[in-house]
Amino acid sequence: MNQKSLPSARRPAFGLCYRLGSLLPVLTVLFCSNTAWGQHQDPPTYSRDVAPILQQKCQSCHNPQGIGPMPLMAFEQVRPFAALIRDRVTRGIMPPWHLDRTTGIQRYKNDISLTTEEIRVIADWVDGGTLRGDPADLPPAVEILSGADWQLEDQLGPPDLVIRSAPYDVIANGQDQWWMPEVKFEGLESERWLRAAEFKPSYPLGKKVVHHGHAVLIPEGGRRQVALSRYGVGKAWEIYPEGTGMRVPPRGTIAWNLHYFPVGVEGDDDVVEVGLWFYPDGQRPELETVGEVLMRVDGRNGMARGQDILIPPHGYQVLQGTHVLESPATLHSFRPHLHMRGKVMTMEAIYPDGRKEVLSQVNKYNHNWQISYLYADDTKPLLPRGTVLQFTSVFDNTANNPLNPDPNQWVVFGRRGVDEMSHAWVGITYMNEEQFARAVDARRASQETLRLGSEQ
Amino acid sequence: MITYLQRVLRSSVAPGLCLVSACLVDMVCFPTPGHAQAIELAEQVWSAEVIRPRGQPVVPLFDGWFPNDDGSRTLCFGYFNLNTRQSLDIPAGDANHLSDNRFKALLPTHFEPLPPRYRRRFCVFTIRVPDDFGREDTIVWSLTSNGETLSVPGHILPAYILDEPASDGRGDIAPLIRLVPDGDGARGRNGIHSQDEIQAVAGEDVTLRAWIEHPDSRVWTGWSKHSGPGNVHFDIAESEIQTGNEPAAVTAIFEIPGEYVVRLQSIDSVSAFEFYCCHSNAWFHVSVSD
Repeated sequence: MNQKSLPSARRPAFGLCYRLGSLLPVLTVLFCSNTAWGQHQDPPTYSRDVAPILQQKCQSCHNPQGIGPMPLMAFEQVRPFAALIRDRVTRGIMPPWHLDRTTGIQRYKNDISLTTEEIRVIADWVDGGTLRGDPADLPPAVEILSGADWQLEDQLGPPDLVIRSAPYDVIANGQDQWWMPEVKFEGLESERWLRAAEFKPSYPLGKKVVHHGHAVLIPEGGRRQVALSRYGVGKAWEIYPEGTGMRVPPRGTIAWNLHYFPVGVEGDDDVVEVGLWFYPDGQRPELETVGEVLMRVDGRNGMARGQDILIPPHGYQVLQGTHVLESPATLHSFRPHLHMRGKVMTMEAIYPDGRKEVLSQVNKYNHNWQISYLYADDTKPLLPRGTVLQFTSVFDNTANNPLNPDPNQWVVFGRRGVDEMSHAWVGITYMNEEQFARAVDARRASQETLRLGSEQ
Repeated sequence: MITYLQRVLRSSVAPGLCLVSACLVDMVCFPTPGHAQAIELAEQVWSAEVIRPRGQPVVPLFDGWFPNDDGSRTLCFGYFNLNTRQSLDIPAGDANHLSDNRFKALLPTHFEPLPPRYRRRFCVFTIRVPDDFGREDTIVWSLTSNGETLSVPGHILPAYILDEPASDGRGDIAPLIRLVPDGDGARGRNGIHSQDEIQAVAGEDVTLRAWIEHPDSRVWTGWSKHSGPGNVHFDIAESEIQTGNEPAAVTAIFEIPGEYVVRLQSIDSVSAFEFYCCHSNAWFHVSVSD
């Protein structure tokens, strides 16, 4: 693709976000008008209006086996926490979804945030006296996965291969711990293409204490690293788009990097598992992805990593980092990584023609979560060669930051949660120009389909 | 950038905090003409430009604390010299002091430039406090350099607990350092002091030695002037050495007479500093005559 043709190819490819954005108000109105609450003028009830929301957005964590502090499966469980729930949802603290809703791409595969209407239903239900309503209005119960289950099994069946870390004895209290065993990788007879991977800490202990982790395959005799799975609380799995996969050699060593965060419970022989799903043997997807890659958001001019992180007491710091795409690419996901003083991270694209655009902005960053924002298939950024990804991190070391353990400290780079880091994990697949042109054409076609559909 | 910071912070704070935050950002980012130089350092929005060849201050840092076997606790302090070329000597006193002198501390008075590989100096001195040193108790270290006075509090805050002298997860342990062969050794940041004052002559070589044990075959060592009246030159200030029978050694030349302290730090790998475990300190007390 020549330079002259880039803008025309790019605009429809990326402009879909905006076209969808312009449709969203319409869709929202349609959706809201069809909800139970929208059909009834009487006050919302738990059975009819609230329970469906909790089912869809809350119960995956707030169940007896989940990581939520209390189950929210039944009226009797929900009502005592009604005021707290109202507070959390109206302030945007729960469900955990820390994206800025006012800028950047807004359609993600794993969006569990509440709509404005859903928030209003919950608030009105609490303000209206937490009415139970008619139990006959309750939606059918949904099946809740155990923490010990593979989340992807419903979609993909059991994993083709499971790799396991060496066991670690979890300490109850103390400093953050990093467990970095190397384990031989075996089980494949030949090179395969990875379709999906899920990182599964043990249940229940591991779910509480494994803050984030990586399982990286170092091939035999090779220098490249194959990042099979990267995990953070809030990001357990990744399914690559159809036609995209990660090349996995049959032999090597898994370098585990597991960050355990002591929370007052201990246990012996904790093991993390990673489930791997492959394309059928012999099938090679068109695009090879490198998965999530680390993009630094700190000083780069020969500095040690993060050397310029220095946040004054009761102050702020802003850091930026840029990464030039040497070939066209599509982005699958965006996962900021900051620590306790981290507040904001923005990923912007500066196109070869100089235009600049916010792709995603997390403005309520919370170190307790490591959410990966998975772009919907039709909103994944398609970026031409020469695009600059510009990242901006904002740190807040004031008392206004509720996670700040001590605003009187100077804060510098470090691995502990009380120190800081500044980078993003970006799911990325590089392409050649032909592949990029095809992806742009496909996006354009889907846009046209959407446009025509909306006119009917 | 400034507009950006205002925008994102305004959109990210709770509604009740918007005005406060916005005002603070305005104050920091939009100083009125004539007041630009009046911005307090602690209120600046920092950037990479704070690291310069010279002219910047030294930032005192609190690394954290750890419990000792006898029930006492140790507070660890390091520093971040924002200058890449300028070392600073800050004598103990008004420009370099602790807020509480009840406890013994060997304050550094010499501050070396920003190291290129490991960001800053970790835990260069410690303060051992008794078990009744409570959560509300604080010892503040203040440094004045290049026109700025900066402080940091040290206290027993759970979030700042340090592994010492071993890290369970990484399976790492601080090197054992002896200052005489077959003598008592010490692991960790509380460190070890030379028992007998080492004698040296100004302008002449003196060799300082330490015997280091560690499960790894190689460890990193770094030698620094900790305090003293004049410059100290080391033949090799940082190196990786073989552990075992041969001692770690450095040849030092003290420019002028006086009482000096030389600090040795050792860790399995310099990159391990960022895990906050596990390094050991040793301090050599050297008397330099004319």
